[in-house]
Amino acid sequence: MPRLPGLYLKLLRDLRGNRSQVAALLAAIVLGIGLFQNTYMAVENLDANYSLFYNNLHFADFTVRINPARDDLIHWVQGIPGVSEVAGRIVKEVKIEQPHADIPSVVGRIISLPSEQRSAINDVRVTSGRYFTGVGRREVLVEGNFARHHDYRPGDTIYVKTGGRRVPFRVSGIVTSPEYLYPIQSKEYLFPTPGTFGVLFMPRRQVEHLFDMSGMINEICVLTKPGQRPRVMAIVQSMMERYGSHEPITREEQPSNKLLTLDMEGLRQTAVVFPMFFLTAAALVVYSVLSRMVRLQRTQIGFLRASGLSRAAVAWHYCLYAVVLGTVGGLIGTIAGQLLSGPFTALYLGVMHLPFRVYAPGLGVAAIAMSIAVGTSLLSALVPALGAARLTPAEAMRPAPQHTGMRLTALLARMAWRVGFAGKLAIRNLLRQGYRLLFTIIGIALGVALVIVSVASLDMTEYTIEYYFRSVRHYDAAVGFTRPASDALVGQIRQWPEVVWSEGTLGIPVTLSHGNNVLDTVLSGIPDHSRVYQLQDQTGQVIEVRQPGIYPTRGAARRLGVTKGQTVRLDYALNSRDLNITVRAPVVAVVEQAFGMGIYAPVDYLYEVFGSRLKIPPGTINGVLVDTKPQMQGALKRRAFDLPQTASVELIADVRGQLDRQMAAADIFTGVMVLFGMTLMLAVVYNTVSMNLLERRRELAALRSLGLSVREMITIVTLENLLAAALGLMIGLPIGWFFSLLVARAFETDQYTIMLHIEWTTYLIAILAVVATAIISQLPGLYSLSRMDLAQAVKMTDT
Amino acid sequence: MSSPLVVLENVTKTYMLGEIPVEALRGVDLELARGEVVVLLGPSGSGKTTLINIIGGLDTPTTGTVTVAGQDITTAREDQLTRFRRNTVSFIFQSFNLVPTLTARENVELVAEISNSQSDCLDLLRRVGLGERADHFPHQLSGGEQQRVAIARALAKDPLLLLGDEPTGNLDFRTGVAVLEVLREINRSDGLTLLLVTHNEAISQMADTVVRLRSGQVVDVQENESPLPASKIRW
Repeated sequence: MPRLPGLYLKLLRDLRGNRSQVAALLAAIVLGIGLFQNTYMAVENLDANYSLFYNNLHFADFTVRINPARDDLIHWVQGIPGVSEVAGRIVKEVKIEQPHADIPSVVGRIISLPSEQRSAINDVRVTSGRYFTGVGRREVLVEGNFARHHDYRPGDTIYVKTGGRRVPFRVSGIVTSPEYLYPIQSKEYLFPTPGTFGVLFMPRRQVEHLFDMSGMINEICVLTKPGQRPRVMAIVQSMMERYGSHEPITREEQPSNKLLTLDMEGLRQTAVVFPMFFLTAAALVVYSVLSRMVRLQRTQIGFLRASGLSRAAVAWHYCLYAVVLGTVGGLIGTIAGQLLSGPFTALYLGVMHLPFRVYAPGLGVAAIAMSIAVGTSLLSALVPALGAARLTPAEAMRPAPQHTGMRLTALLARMAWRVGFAGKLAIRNLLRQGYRLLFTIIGIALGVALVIVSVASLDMTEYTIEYYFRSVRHYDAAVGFTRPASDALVGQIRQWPEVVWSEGTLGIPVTLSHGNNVLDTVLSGIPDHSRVYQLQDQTGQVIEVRQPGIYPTRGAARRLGVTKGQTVRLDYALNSRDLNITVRAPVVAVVEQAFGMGIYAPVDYLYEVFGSRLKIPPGTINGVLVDTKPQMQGALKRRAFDLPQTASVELIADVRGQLDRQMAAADIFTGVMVLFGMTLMLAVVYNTVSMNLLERRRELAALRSLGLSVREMITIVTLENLLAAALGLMIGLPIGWFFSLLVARAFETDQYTIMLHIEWTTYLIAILAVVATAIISQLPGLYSLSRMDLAQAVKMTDT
Repeated sequence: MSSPLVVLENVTKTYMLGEIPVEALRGVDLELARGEVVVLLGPSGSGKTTLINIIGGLDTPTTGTVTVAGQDITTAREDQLTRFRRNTVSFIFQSFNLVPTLTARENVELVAEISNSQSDCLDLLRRVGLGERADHFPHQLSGGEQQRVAIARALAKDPLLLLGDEPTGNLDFRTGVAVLEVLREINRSDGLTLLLVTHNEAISQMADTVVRLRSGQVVDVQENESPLPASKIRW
């Protein structure tokens, strides 16, 4: 068998001789790289599968809502250069009767599809049942999320209420639509609400007949040729202005796709942020293991240099340890991450009820992962490796000078006279070798920080949701109306037996602009002394919404690039040639709100700006927010739906439930992070503590031979480790806080703001976990020290 | 008469101990002939190790010149010194300095690899009486055996000069004598120049030349007309 060159053999045996440190190191690299590869590949897979799904179903590049118009309009659009496909359709809001649910009906959206052939744009995928049979009976395809929530199956009958009629339809199939992977009613809604909002697809002729819109359309969907979209969109928008067109909704702004994109953005951040922590830990372990190795192999380095090995060869020899560890850890991590990315992708796609069709090519990501693994190891090995190369042979032959310690050591030791001999010795030992103390502190600090950042991820998510519902949506139900109503209704609702308090709201769709930044949203009017909205600024100060102007949420302010005191341009979103409302609105305060890009304003300000032009006199509302008595929400929902003008009833409990379900996948992921963080903390702290003991084996043996009892030795070592742990904790706790801040900032998007909040129990868990790990980590070393042959041990050289 | 292998002219070495200069060598002039055994005697702190380190290219003098095999190593660059150490000199140390994770044979092979030597490493181990112990690790060998591995390892690169820094310092009398016998035999058979540093007067009996060093200066150089075989030495 061919023999390995001597230096490679030395390397392999050195690694074998430092098994526990190597294992800790590999664990850190494998966790970091595995997580990176897994998450990044999952994002790439999701992207590939969503793209495939969108391409197969011809997801529109943009859609434009118009007033009902002749469908030959689409021929004009088809003629625009750069257009690849155009489809016109009818989209109408109705009520869907829910005979078996606790509410009589929910909001439905009917979308027409071609009767005979499949749609050229925004087609659907039939997951059960079949596409329209075309045999003349009333039939409907039900969007999957709604169907699953209400248990609709092919063959069932669904009742649509429109224009005072109740029309039955037979469910011919259940479908998935690219526009409703997340069933979000409109961009004003932050979360999917399949319980109260459903989409039904119907044959075009049937829809025309139902709404008396023969030969008409009210929405145009467009697919453009590559690179042509902005130009085509501008032409279509100007062409459709005479038909009362709304702002086109691009694929990126389409609510379902937008939420999906945000999801993937969050995952991408995760793929970078958490591995970064793990690889930082790995870098530290590489650095400490190699530094120790170089110190202990000082005379070997001297011999090698004396034998004619060049400085560069010595440096490369020690760098090679890092390359081997980085390569092995990187390979295991990359393979494990790659293997896990399949089930992980399937899990995500399963939530969306999409099949896992294609794997994204993983070689590029794997190459990046391997480069990160090897690069991180190599970088952290450079300092010890260059230190080894810098040793002159004569200097290296001599034993390293013994450190007598800092002046501080003696001072502290004198001050510690009360703690007796063991205390003095512990303090002296601790401070005697700065590098060892530094490694111990950094190791423990990093361990604490890892536990804090992983557990704090759970804290922050929980707190953010809690804060949102406690301070912003401090009500139990929101009743939306189909048309403006008088606030006399608020008083009427307040008299209902289920109701504790009610308040009217007025929402007006607006477009805000500041410089080049534009935001389409709903301006929510809040009554003076509102009891259901308790808005706060970033410092936690309560905001009184009285002063005229707008009160954007942090996300909205960020999108617009405005701060308190600046002004923005405010346009009515449905401005047309005949109706144009534009004002300059001051930003009175920025609201700390975790979700969405809502904008608030005093309701009186809305009456002042829009009242006369939109014919909404003071006292007009289009929704009511209600505080209910306990357990009365179901009853309230039923009663609210009995009102003729009710369009929707949104129970906060339902929204919260939906949000919790949506966060469930993320919680699993965060749980895995906690597990990883704990594992890594164990690896880092164990490595630090056990290495300390190993380095001091001879010294402790000498003390034992001078009469130190095992118990005294354990006391000294434990005291040392606890003192080091205390110092590590002092640094680790703020680092953990800072890491958590980084995580919160990394996951911040226009739609979501993660609020930095760490429970005191998280700090306590981190402290206890680290201290316990430090104490447990010293046990094997102490056991071995208590049983060693003292005569042999005092003679031995460290290897 | 052939030219000397090693020539030192007015060599000084000054260390800084904190802010205090320490003169380890003070104007040393010395010549070592090819193929001779030289024992460098002196008490602790006399500059023996400094001198051997300078001759071996491990350290550089503060002033003066050192020429080994015609090469002035005092003006040599780092890469030239590395080549010099790789091809010309070998060391054996009091504490053996074997690589603990390599077997006896692998320790010897390591040096052969570094110097690109074609030496038969197993044969070298046989020459020092360790043919049977070639696959043992250092911790499985006695002190004398470890030092013999170190000698085999030093021979692996076929050097002109072998420098031994207290090679018997960590060994008992019998083992020490056995090691000296091996060294003397190699000197005879290979024509290798041997410079042994020791504070053990008895070892000087086997030398062709005895150099005495005190306080960084050569105080005496004695030719030994009839060196004793190593086996006859007692201490």
